[in-house]
Amino acid sequence: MSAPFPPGVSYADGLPALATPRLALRALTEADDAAILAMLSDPGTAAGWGVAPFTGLSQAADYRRRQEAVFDARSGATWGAFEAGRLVGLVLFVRWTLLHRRAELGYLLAPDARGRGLATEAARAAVAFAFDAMDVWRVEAETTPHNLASQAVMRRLGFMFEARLAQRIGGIAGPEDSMLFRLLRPEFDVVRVEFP
Amino acid sequence: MPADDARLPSAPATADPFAGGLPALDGARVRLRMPTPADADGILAVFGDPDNLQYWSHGPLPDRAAAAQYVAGIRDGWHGRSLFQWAITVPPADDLVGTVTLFAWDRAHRRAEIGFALRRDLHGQGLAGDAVRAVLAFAFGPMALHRVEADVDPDNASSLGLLARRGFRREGYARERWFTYGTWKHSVLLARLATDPEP
Repeated sequence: MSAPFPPGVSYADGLPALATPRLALRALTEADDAAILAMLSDPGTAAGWGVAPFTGLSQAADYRRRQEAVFDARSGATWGAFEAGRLVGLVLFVRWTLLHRRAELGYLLAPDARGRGLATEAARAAVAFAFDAMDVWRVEAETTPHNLASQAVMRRLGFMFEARLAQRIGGIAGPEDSMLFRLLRPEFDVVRVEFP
Repeated sequence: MPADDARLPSAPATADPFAGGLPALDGARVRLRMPTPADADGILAVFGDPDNLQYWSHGPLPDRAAAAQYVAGIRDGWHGRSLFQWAITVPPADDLVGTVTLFAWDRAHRRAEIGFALRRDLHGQGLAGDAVRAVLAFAFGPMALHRVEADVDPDNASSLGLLARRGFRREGYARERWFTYGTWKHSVLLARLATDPEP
């Protein structure tokens, strides 16, 4: 397979936009910085993302520029999830390796966008893109034992639980275990066929 | 999450605790030091041996030029603090007979991954275990890690045995995690915590 994204193509120009029934997924731009700040200044949202709450626009801009750099290095891909034009979440891959055809999935929703299946919708589109267009064979995802909402998203997409990794996440309230899930391409193909 | 993790904001600027260079470490029999360009032949003997690389994440190095490039990569990784890869030597000799590595250092979550390789004719003498013991003392000491992890081919009985003797616990089995030699390899995931007792 040829390189999934042409060499030298930037994040803004190279990351394809994806459409789901309710969401538009696309690359973040400078115009999104205020919305990124609004989302990640919420303490609960930030904690679920493993970061301290953002306090200024420069942190949001720095975050957005890092997504550009990660894409430029072809080690990941980050989409903003927009509902009716409003940024309501993020879905991303990190630690993407072409050699071993693996990437790690992450997703985040603003508090007022939760409970409606949007995370599943966004993650499903991103995972399908990774398997179809990024030559990924294995997607991994991690969460904490008490984050049942995140685990439910993974199970809906067909992820399998593989390991509980002791005290892997340095949470704000102390070390937490990590629940490691995986989804192999042929496993997702079953989900796609059975639950289109 | 490693420093490249896109979810984390930039780490606050803190002093580099290792500005003085990769510290040399002493085991009972081995001495660990920063690899130099003069170690290319030693690297080739370890990482150019196909029978020694069957459980490694990439295939054998083809020639001395590739070995020299590998050493350059080790030094670049150290300068970026993304790779701590020591040469294993057996004093009084100073030639490289293997390497032991801490990588994927995540300062926010205080964890890193460990790896090791030894020239095949020196296997079975406990040298790699000695090197791992010295590196763990560094990891849980000056590096202040909370967790050291390992990812091992399920068929690699000697590495699994070594890690078990060094107090690592098996945490899980990850399917089809590495694509090497044209095939998928599974992984045994192991870890040792700073709070685990010394075995």
